[in-house]
Amino acid sequence: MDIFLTEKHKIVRHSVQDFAQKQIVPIAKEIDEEQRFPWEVVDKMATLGYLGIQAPKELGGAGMDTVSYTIIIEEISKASASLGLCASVHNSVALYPILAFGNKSQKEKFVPDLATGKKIGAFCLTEPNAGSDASAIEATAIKDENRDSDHYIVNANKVFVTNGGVAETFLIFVRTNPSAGPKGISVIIAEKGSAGFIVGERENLSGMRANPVSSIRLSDCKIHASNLLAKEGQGLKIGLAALDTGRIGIAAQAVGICQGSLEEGIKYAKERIQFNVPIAKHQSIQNMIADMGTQVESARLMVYRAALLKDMGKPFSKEAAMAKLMASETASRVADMAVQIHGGYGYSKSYPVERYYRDARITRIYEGTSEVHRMVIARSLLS
Amino acid sequence: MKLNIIACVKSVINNMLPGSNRNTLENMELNPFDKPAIEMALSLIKEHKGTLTVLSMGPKSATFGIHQTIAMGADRAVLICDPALKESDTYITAKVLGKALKKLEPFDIVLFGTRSSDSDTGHVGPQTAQMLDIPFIGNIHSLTADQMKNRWIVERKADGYLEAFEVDAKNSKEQKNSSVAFSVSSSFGDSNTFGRPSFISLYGVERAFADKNIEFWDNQTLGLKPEETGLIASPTKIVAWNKEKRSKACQFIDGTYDQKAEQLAQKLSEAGFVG
Ligand SMILES: Cc1cc2nc3c(=O)[nH]c(=O)nc-3n(C[C@H](O)[C@H](O)[C@H](O)COP(=O)(O)OP(=O)(O)OC[C@H]3O[C@@H](n4cnc5c(N)ncnc54)[C@H](O)[C@@H]3O)c2cc1C
Repeated sequence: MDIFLTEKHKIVRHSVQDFAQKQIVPIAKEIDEEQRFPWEVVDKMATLGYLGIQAPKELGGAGMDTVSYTIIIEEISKASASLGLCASVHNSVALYPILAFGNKSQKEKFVPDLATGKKIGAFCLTEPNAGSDASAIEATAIKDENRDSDHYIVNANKVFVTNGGVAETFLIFVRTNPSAGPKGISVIIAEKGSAGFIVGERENLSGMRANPVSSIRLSDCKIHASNLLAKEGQGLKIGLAALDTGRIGIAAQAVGICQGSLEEGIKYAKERIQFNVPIAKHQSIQNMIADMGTQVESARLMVYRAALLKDMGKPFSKEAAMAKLMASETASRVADMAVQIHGGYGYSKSYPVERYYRDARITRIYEGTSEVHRMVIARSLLS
Repeated sequence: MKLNIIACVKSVINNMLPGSNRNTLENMELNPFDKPAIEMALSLIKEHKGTLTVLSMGPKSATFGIHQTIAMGADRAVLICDPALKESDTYITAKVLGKALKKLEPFDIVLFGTRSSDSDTGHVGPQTAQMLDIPFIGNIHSLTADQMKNRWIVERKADGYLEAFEVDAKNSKEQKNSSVAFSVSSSFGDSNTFGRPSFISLYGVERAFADKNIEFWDNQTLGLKPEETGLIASPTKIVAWNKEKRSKACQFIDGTYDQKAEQLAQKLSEAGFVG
C-alpha cells in the first residue's frame, strides 16, 4: 500500500494520526450524538493547515500535493467522518474552484481566509428539484442593467449544503441567463451576512451528524458582479472540475471509514469470546476480516492512483470516478461486515461501528451517486 | 539573551515486524521520550529567541524522526550516519555525540530525552555531558532564567520530592564551554508552564522538506577512525536479546467505587504509570 508514498507523505500521515487520535477520537461519539460542530477542534485543524492543504503558501495554504490531501482526509474521516466531510468539501469544492477559476483579486480576497480556516467554505449546487441533474437548477442571478449593472440580484433555494450552518463563503450555482439552458449556469461567491442571505434549517441526518448540513436561501440578495467566478455560463465546467477533485476527497473519506471499520472489527473479534474461543478463531469471522482487509486495500490503491495522476498533471477524471464508486461501495460493505462481527453490540451506539455504518452510507450518494458515477465511467469507457 | 540550544534525539523503531529488527522508513519515528526535549527547546526559543539544532546519530532511515523535529520547529539538523557506527553502545554513542557537539560550539544548553523507548538505558544524556565536562541535571520539567543573576532555575521531581537547582548560564563569549545539559521529563508537556504539547502542522512538514535539509556527518567529519566506533570499540556488548515472556494475571479490586478507585490509583502510581 505504501509503495509509492514518500517519507514526507508518511510524516503527514503520522502527524495527522497523532492529532486525530488525541483530539478527534475522544469526541467523535459525542459530536455525532449531539449533532455538534466542534469548533474547538476545527480551529486546531485550521492552525495545523488542514483547511488549506493544497492552497499555495503565498495565500496562507500548506501547498501540499493531492496524495497528502488524500491521506489527511482519510485519517480525519477514520476518526470522525463528519469532520472529514467538513475538510473535504472546504478544501476541494469550495477553496479549489476559487484557486482554479478565480481571478487575482478574487484569490487575494477569499483564499487566505479559507486556507487558514478563518472562514469555512461551502458548495451550493443541489436544489429541491435538481440533484443528480445539476443542469435543472432554478436559482437565478440577474443583472438589472437599468438599476445597477454592477450587481446581481440572486434568488436561490439550496439544500443539503455541507458546512452550511458554519460556513461564511459559499459558491452558489445560479442561472445568469435563464433562457440559455446548461450554458446559462454560472457560479457566484456569496458571503454570509449579505442582506437576503438566509441560513436555513439544519438537516437531521442519519450520519455525518456533526456536520451542520443545512439549507441556504438567497432572497433578492444583491451581490457585486466582481463575485462572479470565471465568466457567465461557465458554471457547469466549474462544477465538473470541482467534483472531479471532490471525488478524490469523498473516496478518501470512504477509505478512512473502511479502515476504521476494519480495525474495530479486528479488535472486537479478538476480544469477544463465544464457544470458549475469541470469535476471531471462527472461520466465518476470519473470512469477513480477510474480505474487509482486501477490499480496503483495493479501494485505497485506486484512490491513491487517482491522486497521484492528478499530482503528475495527467488526466484523472475517470480514475477519480472509479475510485469514488469503488471506495464508497466498499465502505458500505466493510462497515456492514464490521457491524456483523460485533453482533448485537454493533447495532448499538456503544461501539463506533454503528456510526461508521451510518456514515458510510452517504458516500454512495453525495458528490454524485453511484449510479451517476457508473454513467460517467461507462461514457468514458465506451467513447 | 539569545539561546543556542542543541537537542540530541534518536529515531526508534515503533512497530517491529515479527522476526525482524530491521529499521526502515516504514517503522521509524522520533523517540517519544525526546519530544518533550524538543518542546522545551522550542518554548525557550519562543521566550528568549535563538536557534534549535537537532543532533542525532543513527542509520539513514533515522531521517524520519529528524524530519519530525524540523517540522516541529528545529532550525538545523545534523544526522551522524556511518556504517562503522553500527551497534555502538551508549558509551560510544556519547563519545560520538560529544565530538559532534564540540563541532557545534558555541551553545548554551544541550537537551536530551530521559530515555529511549527501544533500549531504555538513560545513559546517553549524562555520559555525553561527561564527555564535554559540563554539568547535567536529569528528568527536569521546568527551566526558567534568572536573568539578573544569569542563572537557570531548574526543577525536577525525584522520589516524591520536588527539587530545584540553580545552574550558571553561559555569560560571555570567552566562556565558550560553560553550557549545561539536561534531560527533559515527559511530564513537561503536561505542566501548564509552557502550554500544551504541539502537534506537527502541515506547514511544518512542508518546511522540513522544502528549505531545511538534514546535514549528514560521518566518522570522517568528526575525525574518528572506524575502529574507534561501532561494536568493536564498544565496552558493552549485547550477547542476548530475546523477548521477555510475560505472564498475565488479572487482579480484582474489592470495595466501594471510591475505595476501588483509590486502590487502583495507588497501584498505578506504584507501578509508575501515573503520579
Ligand atoms: C449529507 C449530505 C451532504 C451533502 N452536501 C452537499 C453539498 O455540500 N453541496 C451540494 O450541492 N449538495 C450536497 N448534497 C446533495 C447530494 O449531492 C445529492 O443528494 C446527490 O447529488 C443526489 O441528488 P438527489 O438527492 O436529488 O437524488 P436524485 O438525483 O433525485 O436521485 C435519486 C436516485 O435516482 C438515481 N438517478 C438519478 N438520475 C439518474 C440517471 N440519469 N440514471 C440513473 N439513475 C439516476 C440516483 O442515482 C438516485 O439513486 C449533500 C447530500 C447529503 C445527504
